Amino acid sequence: MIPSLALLAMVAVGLLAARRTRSTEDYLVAGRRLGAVRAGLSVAASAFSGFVFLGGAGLTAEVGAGSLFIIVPAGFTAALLCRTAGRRLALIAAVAGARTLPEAIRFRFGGRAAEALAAVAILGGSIVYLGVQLAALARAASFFQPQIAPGWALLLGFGALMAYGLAGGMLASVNTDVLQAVIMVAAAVAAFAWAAGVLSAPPGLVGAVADAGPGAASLLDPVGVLGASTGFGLLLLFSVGTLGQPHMLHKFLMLRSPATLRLLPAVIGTAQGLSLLVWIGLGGAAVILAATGALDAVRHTDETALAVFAAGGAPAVLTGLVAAAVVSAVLSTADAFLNLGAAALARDLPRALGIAPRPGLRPVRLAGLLTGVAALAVAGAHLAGGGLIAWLGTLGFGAFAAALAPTMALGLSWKRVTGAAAAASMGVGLGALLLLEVLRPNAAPGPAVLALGAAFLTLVVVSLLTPRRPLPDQVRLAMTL
Amino acid sequence: MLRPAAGLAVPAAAAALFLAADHAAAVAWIGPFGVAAALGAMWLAGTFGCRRWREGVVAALLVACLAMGGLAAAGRIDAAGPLGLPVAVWGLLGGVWILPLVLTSASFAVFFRPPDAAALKRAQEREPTG
Repeated sequence: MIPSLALLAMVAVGLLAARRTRSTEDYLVAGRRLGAVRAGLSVAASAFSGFVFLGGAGLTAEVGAGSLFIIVPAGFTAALLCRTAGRRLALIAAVAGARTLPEAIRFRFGGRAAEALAAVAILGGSIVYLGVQLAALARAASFFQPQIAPGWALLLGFGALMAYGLAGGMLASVNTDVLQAVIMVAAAVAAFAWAAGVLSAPPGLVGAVADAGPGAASLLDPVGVLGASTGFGLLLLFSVGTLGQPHMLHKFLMLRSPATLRLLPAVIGTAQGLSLLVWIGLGGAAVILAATGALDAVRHTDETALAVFAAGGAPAVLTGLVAAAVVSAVLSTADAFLNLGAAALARDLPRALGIAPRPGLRPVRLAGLLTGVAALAVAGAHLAGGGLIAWLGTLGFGAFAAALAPTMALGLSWKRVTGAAAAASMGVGLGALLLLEVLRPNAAPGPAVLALGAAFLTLVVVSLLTPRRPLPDQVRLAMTL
Repeated sequence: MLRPAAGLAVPAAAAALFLAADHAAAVAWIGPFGVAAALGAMWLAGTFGCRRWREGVVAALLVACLAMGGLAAAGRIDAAGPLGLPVAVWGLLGGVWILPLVLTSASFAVFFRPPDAAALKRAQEREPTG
């Protein structure tokens, strides 16, 4: 009941915003009217997907304390994001009116190669990430309503997303993000308060793990049952890699003015920190309930978070609120990727190929429909394969990190970075990730971390090897103001 | 040149430490501290952050918070803290999240200087391409 009401409210908010979407400026950058609170909540909501609300508890139950390395960076990544990439993107938007990340990259570096590679990375990554979100939604829906087949749940989520996402673009996406962020924070705080009771009741986390035997004891080691290099790899990926996430970076192009940035880290960080309480709370509770044998009936690891409520005897209202948060988390990320993919397909790729994008909203909406259908196929394949959302989410995160983080972290601030270096870095990052994934499938986060390192190194080396060119005045000012 | 090089060298060294730790369980306990130091040094090195001494102070405090959080999370995991929650949870919440969040958000709000409207207008009027 609660998730259904929340879903209806989101669709209503999105459709209301769609009625106010009249121009490509509204559709692509929400009319460039975002203040700190709206932008911050939107970044936080779109950053956290089903990965956080569904994947976190399951991963913690499986690998122990090592899963915390994914969420530990949340204390400082908001400021890191604003300090490095965010303020430069906000200035590029203010100075040159960039509406997409590839446009901002073309403004900074000139030429078409870097723009084209960024568009390809964003389109491909958006389809995969969107597919994962739809699969997460289907899995959650079939858990709550076992009579609904995952296939039908998938189509229902797809329909709801298309209803407002296609019509309203980024304006609808941002407005629903605000509602979704509020639901996510409320659910996470409530879930943590409930889980604190499970954690503090005898035998407690440590006692339950000790009673479960020596095999379970390593769950509470600093890196859990992961290797130390995997733990560090996750931490590096989810701290530095944040700088390459287009669904977060794109919001900096929507700000009312660069001055809006001042309060943004506080808003993003607070919303994210509160939302992540669900990971710690339900993760710890899942470890206890699994160790005491109360969590045996989980059909799939990704259902752990929801199964914890059933095993722990949580009130139905809380379970419903968390289910609404799962829907919020999934849709807030999905609508951002739907629009990013649409913009890349309808505008950035054609322009990089020398074809003028067709004006108006219709081509972007059609591109959004194609992106959504491709993502639906990915979701179907994922559900059929039965992979873990957390690991697939890590792969998607890693792909964006390897492709875009070096260019966003260094390229927007260090004037020595050349267009050739940015293009080479993106190519090496994406190529290395794909190659390593083929050679060592499902080995996350190793391939993504190695690809990220190779991309950073390529950016620095190629920049130093290619001739320095004077920057146009406007670019130089956008990089120094 | 020095800043990006230093920023890349520090996490690379920390990564080497972690790779070594994979083969020696005892060293794994160094993990959280190595990570804290790597992140703080990365920030200090300036690749992603500070250019003024006051920001350096913030970065040093950040290192201290992360290290203390890591200490609480890793070293005292078997102890019960306030509200019955393990000290590890409080270490994570306080040392690794809340204090770094307050430090970094507050320092950004204080040190960030947005360009004034006149400077922005001048930039908008410049030649867009070279």
